[in-house]
Amino acid sequence: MRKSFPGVLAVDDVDFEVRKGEIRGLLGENGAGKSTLMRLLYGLYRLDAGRIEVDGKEAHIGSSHDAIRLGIGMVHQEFMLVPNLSVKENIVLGFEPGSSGVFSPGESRQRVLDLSKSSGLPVDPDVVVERLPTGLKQRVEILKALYRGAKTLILDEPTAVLTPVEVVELFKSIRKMRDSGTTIIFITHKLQEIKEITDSITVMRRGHVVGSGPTKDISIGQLANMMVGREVIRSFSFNPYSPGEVLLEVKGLRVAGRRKAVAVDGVSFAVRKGEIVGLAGVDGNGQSELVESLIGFRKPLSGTISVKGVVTTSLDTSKILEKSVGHIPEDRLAQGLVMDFSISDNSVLGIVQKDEFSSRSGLIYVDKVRRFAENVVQAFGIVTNSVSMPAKNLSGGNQQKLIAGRELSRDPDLLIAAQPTRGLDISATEYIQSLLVKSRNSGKGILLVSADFDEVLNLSDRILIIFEGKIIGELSREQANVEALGRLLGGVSA
Amino acid sequence: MNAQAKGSTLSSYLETSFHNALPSLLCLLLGLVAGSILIIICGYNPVLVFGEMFSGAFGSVQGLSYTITYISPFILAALAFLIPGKAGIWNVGGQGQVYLGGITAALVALYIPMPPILWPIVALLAGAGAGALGAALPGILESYRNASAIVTTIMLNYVYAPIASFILFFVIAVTFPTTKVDSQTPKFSSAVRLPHIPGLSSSIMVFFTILIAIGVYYFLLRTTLGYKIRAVGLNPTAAEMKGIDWRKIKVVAMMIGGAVAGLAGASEVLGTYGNYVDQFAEGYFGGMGFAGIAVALVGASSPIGAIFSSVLFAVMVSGGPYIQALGIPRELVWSLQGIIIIFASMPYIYKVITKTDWSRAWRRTIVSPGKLEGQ
Amino acid sequence: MAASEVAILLVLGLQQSVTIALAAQGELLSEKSGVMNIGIEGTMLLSAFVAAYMNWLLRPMFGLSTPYVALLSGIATGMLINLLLAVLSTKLYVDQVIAGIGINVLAGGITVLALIHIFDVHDQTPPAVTLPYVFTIPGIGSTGQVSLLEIFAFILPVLTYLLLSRTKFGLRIRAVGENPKAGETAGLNVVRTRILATTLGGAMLGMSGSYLSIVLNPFFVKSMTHGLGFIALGAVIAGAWSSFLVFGFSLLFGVTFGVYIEYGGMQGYTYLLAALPYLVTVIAMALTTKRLRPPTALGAPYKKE
Repeated sequence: MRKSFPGVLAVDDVDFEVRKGEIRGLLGENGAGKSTLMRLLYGLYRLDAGRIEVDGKEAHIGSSHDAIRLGIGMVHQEFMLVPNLSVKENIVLGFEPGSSGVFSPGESRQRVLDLSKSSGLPVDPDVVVERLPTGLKQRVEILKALYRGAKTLILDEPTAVLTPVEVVELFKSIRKMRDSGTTIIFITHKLQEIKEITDSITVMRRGHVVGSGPTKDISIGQLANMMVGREVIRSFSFNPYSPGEVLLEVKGLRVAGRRKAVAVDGVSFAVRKGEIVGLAGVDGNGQSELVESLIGFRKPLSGTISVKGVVTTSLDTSKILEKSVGHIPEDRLAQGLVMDFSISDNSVLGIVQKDEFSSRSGLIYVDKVRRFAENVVQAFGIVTNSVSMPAKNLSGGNQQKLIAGRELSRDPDLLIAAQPTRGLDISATEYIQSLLVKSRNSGKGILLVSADFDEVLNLSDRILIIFEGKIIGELSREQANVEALGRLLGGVSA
Repeated sequence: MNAQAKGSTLSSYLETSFHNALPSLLCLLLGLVAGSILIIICGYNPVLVFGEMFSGAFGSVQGLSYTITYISPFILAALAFLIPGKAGIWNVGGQGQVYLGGITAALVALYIPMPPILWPIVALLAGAGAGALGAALPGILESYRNASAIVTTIMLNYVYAPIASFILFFVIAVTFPTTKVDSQTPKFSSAVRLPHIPGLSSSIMVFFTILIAIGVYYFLLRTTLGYKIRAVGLNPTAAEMKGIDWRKIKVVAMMIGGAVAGLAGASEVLGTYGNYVDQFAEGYFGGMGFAGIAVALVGASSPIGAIFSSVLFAVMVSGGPYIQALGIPRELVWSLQGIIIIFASMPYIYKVITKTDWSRAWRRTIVSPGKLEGQ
Repeated sequence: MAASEVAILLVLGLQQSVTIALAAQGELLSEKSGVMNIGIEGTMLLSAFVAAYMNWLLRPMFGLSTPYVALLSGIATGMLINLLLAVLSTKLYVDQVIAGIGINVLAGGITVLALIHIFDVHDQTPPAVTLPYVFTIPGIGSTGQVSLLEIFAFILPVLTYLLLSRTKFGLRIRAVGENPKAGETAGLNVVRTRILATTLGGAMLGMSGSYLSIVLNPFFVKSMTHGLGFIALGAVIAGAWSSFLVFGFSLLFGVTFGVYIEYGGMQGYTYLLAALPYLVTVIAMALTTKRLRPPTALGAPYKKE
């Protein structure tokens, strides 16, 4: 099967086969292609080339309805439930039992109870969904798929939002389903889990299948290698590593999550002058929430954050940034730039009220702003005709350069860079990475949060690996190699 | 480099403004076409109607006065809607805020005498302040209680207006008994009323209003507060991540909008009427506040655009009576406004028209209606 | 005040309540599916006009059953306008708020235009025969005549409740208004559901408008909706989008409004009564909690991925 998106060959010549009644694990990091592969199976994307066969017959899957009809069901990471409706209503939505237009709650309830019993997934049909804990919400999603006749169930990173107890329950349910004949495809990046629950595993990397086989025949080390493994090319020159005073100190930080109750669960670390600390992890392990709490966008549940010795845990964002802290947000579109603003305007976002850019009374010195923007454009190689152009006209790479340039031009002592090269081509990526190294060499401290493991291995003086909200390991530059990183990323500490 | 840069920025400015104005102009055109159809249905000649409107609005001293009189409140009401709009919050409460401003100015005019020049200025400022407070409430409710400003501002219109009437009939009327009978206060002292343009019966407020509109334009583009308002309106997340308190900014923007609406009410009371008349803000095309929304939309939600748009609407309103002389009812013009508002809500149509691949759409309808593509 | 005076006052208020209640249940349906119709006033006004016009015009053709035909035409008008609004906002992503305001203003102008054009007057249509009454409440004279519409208004909340909770269509409406994406993945046609729900709601708006011009009065008077449409909107919000609560608030607001109309302007406190429904709504909105909140997707256009 093959599928491309503009500029990215997401799935390249992949042969993927699943036997009936088995639990097949699909392992890979961000961007490996596993989600895309499954979306192709579920009809959310369309194949560019190749074909799909279900039960030996060629199948054309043009929409999720087609997939459902073929008995393929999918439970996404983001639940598709209607919060104010009850469990039974959510499960039968669209395929309500009963003739004519009448909705019979009694019959629905019965159907749900029957299904619940036969699949071994107990639920209370009458509870309103928004009251349920995440684990049960997921169970409702699974039942939804089963109700629609799914014989093959695709679970996309199902444990990402569960507590350890809920994971145990989920695994029990998965085994029950397998025993009653359902085929399960289990997508994950967590090595321990995949070893525990699956019958066989396929590993993907950068759009290819790099290995597959029965679970009992592959070791964790091999999996780690396959998942992450590539040659590491160091192309940057680093000054000798001698970190200075502490710029950022985090102690026992706990932060609530967007989708989980607790996304950051007791994290402690420090960033010093003259070092790049890489925070490596697959998306969804708490990095986003951690960064948000560092800049004051999300208040933590407990723990402390200090910048240069001053506690900043409960301070407003503006006060934190004033301490010479820079931030490259992980989503340049939604969080980094105001797309309709000109490049000039974007370059002073958050700092326009400073004396150098505006008077006490609030009048903006347009010339000074423009000059600043032009400097940024020049110094950071941004391709544009004029700084009056709206930011949305820039290419992705140039937008990211603008964001990075804007931050670095202020020469912050501490820079928090979240996924700074996501979605960029090679040259833009290397350019931004060189900027980070330069900054580090001149004595600044950088927290590099990235799911790009090449980047992390290349740039970091120290690597911290975050997994399920905790830092489960630390690797120095010497210790950092592909296998060690892969194991930790997959959740296997020591 | 500088002169050239200036020249190119002016022409590029005009170019971008024109580009931004295109959707609104298109909708205006569609609205006028639809309106013309309505006119024809009623049995009149659109060319005659529009022509008579224009000549009536500008052709005589009375007409010109009338036209100019309407420009000022329209501009202010439009600003009252579009300034909060830039921050991403809907102020549909202009109508009520106008009444708050008007009655406050009336109170100052009747009860707090001051030396001339100072008196009207204080009264106007008091009116603006009242409007600001009236708008602060829905602003706070939206920022901090997540209560949709659209609804709260509409509802408060029907709270503030009765409050104004109440004050008129049960507070002012106590000191000025004729108020109850006339439904209006006696004329204010000439020291507090706004002077008229020599030769016309419209007050000089219109000049200040145009200056205010231009000022708002520069305010939005050239001040830090204006910058923050625009940033919050366009991308509140990015703004917040950079330390901008979007909740506070939204409230401030609402208060500015309310102040302008209050100013509109106050200036009408002090300038156009010279006293406070109950329900004075009805008429003006369906209510001063709502007319302001239409003016703002047709003006592409820009302060400068609002100036031109308000002239257009002023012509429509003042030309109305002249059309009546032809036997055409004033409500026709009223309906035109409604049509224009509806069309003004459809800038997306512009996008649809220009970006649709028409040939593909045509092929799909005739070749395979309803069939999925790619099969 | 004598008991009979109070009774009359109450009944007058209830008449306003009926108008509000009918409109509110209609708005409830459309809002449950995610479409906010700010143009309630305009829709009611236009329906009122059409109903009154038909009532007068078709007398020779239908004789005694004319009022029923007129009612149907009013209902059809409401449905048509709401259908238009729904299509515009779901398919063309027209801004619901502005379109609604536009409808209100347009209706105000067009109805008077029509009055002038057809009847050559500026204020009201010629009188026609009102909808016949079914029974009379004793003791208060002709005010106590009760027609089909009043009875229906009291049954309506039960109907909307049953529709929303006991029919497949109702379930889908609720899903689509809360999380259209979930509805889409479950196989629902979000746009179609919204259009249907809003049009059905329009039928009730039409009933409400017609009630004004062929039951409460035997003619159409310009601007006869007086802000009742917005009060209905307020009832929906204050009633937290739940059929019976909305009905309760419709009754309450109607009675206060009725008192205001009766004594309007004579006593100071009546102005407060006029403002009351709106004030209550604002307070209700300030107090929204997780339990009492609007349908999450309300007012937001749904764009398919």
